[in-house]
Amino acid sequence: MHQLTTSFVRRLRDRDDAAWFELWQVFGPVLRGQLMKWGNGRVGFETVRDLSQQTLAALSTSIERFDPTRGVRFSTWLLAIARHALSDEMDRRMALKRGSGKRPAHLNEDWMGGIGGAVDAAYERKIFEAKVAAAIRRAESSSDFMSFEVYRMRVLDGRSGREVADQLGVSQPTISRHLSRSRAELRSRLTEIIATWSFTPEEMAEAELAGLSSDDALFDEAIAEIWHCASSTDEPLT
Amino acid sequence: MARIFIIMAIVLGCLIGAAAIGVLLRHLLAPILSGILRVVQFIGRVVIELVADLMTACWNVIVTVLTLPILLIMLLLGRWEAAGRTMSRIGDRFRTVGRRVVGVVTRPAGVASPPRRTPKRTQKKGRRSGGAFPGWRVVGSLESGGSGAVMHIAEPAEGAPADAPDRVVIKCFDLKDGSPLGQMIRESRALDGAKRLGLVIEHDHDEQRFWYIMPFIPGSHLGETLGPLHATGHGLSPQSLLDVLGWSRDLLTTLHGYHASGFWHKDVKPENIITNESGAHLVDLGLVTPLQSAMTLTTHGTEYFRDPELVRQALRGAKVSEVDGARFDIYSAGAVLYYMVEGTFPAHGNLSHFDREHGDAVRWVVRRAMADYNQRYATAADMLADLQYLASSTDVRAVRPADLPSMTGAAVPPSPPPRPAANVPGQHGQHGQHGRPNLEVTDWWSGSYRVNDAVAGAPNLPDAFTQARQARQARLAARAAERQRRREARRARMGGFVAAVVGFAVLVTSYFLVVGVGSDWSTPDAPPVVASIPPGYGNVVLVNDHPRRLEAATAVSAALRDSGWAPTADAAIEASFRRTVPTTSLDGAELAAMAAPVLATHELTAAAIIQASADDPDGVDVVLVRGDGSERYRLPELDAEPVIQSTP
Repeated sequence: MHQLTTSFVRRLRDRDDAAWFELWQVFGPVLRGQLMKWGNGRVGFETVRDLSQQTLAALSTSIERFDPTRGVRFSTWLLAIARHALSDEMDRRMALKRGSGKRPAHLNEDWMGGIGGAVDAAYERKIFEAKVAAAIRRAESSSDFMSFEVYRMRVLDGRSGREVADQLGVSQPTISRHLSRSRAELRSRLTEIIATWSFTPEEMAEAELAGLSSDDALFDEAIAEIWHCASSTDEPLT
Repeated sequence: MARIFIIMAIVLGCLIGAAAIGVLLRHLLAPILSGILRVVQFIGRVVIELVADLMTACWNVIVTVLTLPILLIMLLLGRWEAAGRTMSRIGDRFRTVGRRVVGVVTRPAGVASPPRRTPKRTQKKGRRSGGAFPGWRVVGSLESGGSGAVMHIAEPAEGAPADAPDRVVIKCFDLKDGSPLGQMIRESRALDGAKRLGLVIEHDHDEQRFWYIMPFIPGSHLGETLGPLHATGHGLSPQSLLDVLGWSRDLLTTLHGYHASGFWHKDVKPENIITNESGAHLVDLGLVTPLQSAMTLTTHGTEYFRDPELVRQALRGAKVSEVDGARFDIYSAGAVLYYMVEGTFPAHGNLSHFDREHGDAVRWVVRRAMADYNQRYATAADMLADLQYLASSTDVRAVRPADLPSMTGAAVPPSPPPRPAANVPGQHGQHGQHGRPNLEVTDWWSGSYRVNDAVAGAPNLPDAFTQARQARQARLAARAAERQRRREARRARMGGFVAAVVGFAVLVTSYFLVVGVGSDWSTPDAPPVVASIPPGYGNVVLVNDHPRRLEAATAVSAALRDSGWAPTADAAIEASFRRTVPTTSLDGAELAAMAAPVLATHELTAAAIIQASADDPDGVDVVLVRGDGSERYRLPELDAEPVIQSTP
């Protein structure tokens, strides 16, 4: 396992607030989306937010027991905790309906959207997209504003170099320089994020499979595609 | 010349006519069509929504009927609470449908009904009425936020200040109502700043309660205002976009005032922005914090509108004075602008996707405001300059980011004064920021003085009373301006109608004028009618072009003979004459010159070309051509042709 991964897990175990906030930022939206999917219309957005917070709270008490060397993905483990949080919520609701838990609740998982809480490929893809989004966010934070805007307009928005140059009032060679600078920064941040949040060899290989280790043109294309998938699944809003 | 005049008159008439028809369509037909469309739209909406609501009502009846046995069982088993909840749900269903049915009829077509920020006359069940507030009479309440306080609407009563505004908001924390003490202490800390900004009129407390009084700003909050603007689902219209930029500009102006006075709002979000005809107003000062506060930074705020960096710094345990709170407000202002133009929350922060088309410059401003802490606009004034540029442009969508003042380095509004550096001893006690006001006595005899409390460059913020008075005056002025605008629009419509009628009249007149004049001018100079041809002698050959050939030849021959001429109708000579002289296209001396050789050949004195008059087919014109010239005469018109009746 990568050193960054172990140090991050150590930070989580040491109750480092910044590490927990980062975890919340990266995986919170995916977690909420999955809970919403399982809820299948039975839980509202506010409840989902509460449940995702409960999940992280439960994670904080059980992080000591997480052993990455056993080959279990962190995302899978996180999902199992979320599933239990949702089960508890539904049991509590059932008990309330029956009259404050006078009778034991029957654990019925039919409400989980028909998938029974199993980890599906879509969830894993979302987790990967969340990592890429986190890398983009970090690159945006560490890059020069102008450079990242050029990258955003050129790659993420799919505008032509001439158009971007015209809008920003600079020459096309300047656009190319900004573009290569942002791309280099993004590659670096992506490596960092993948190394931090990947606990198994399959997770480490995901970036390469998605075309993020190829040349510049393919890299940009892959980033744009992943980013559009990630941003098109906005959290449900009320 | 005459023809040119005619053409010009026709062109002029057409232009005036086209303009008149345009004005007529614009001012007469368009409103009529629009009215018809509205009526159809209204009827359609009423029918559709009424049918939908009636179906919902039917469904509710079915559900109620099915639920009744369960309800009875609950009652029999003594499950009063569950039965009460069920009955309450049924009641809610019918109340909702009833409200919708009433709303369908009373609401204008195509307009959603945004809830207004108006006081409710009733209090929430279980809430205290708020008790008495000396000098104020409570007339209603507003929805409470998350602070645990009750928001009362009050009007001045006996003992109120003389220049008190018409209405105020009283935010009251009551320990008996469960208001958290921590929140009360936090808000009381913000009062100093709020008073300095003129947001608070007065505050007081007793053993149980703590309250403060603010001017009431009527209107609806931004979330409610934006609903109808985004109702189409295709983004904002150009006018709505300008309105939104104007509100954002108002927000930034207010924030600039906060920052210049040494405070930051910390809770900028759509629910805290009230819009009305006078613009956008930032309310709720529950989290207003001095920029140089020695307190630890907290994570208070609202998700999506709170800078993640604020959370990071708060988790790090940073002090407020160690960060630039103004930048967090700028982030929130950018998030609010995103919310306004997109109609949804910025779920991905600065990387949130833009689905609507508003032009690159608007996107640039949002992204610059929500950029990383160190890379966003340094001051609210910088963002304000960009927004002012956008709001003043004729086509916002056409503005390039490169044109914005923050990119070009153009002049920007005055930046706030430099704030004292963090943790620098001696700075906190200076007047104008955190110390007592500096009074300068202007007249020792009368004791009058003035306050030298203003920091150079800081906005001269009036007190709360003045602000409320100014707001009321602004409202009245806005209403008067609106009335004046409507009056002018009415006048313009009336003027347009009159112009249309006059134009139409001009069109008709010019048409008849053109037709009349054209017919007069298009007619060649008609010769005077003569009883007989002037006397002469010699042989005259008849060249007959008249449609009533025989009658015309007889009449002309008679007239010639009466005048001493010797007419002859020799077909060979006539044919020879026609071969040499084009009788229909020549006139005057030219005709005479061409006819002279023919006349000499056949030893004729003259030729008489007989034609029908141009304006009268029965008229007889005679062109008498001699070797030295030609003259045209008009003989009396021929008798009408006899009607030949068939015999059985």
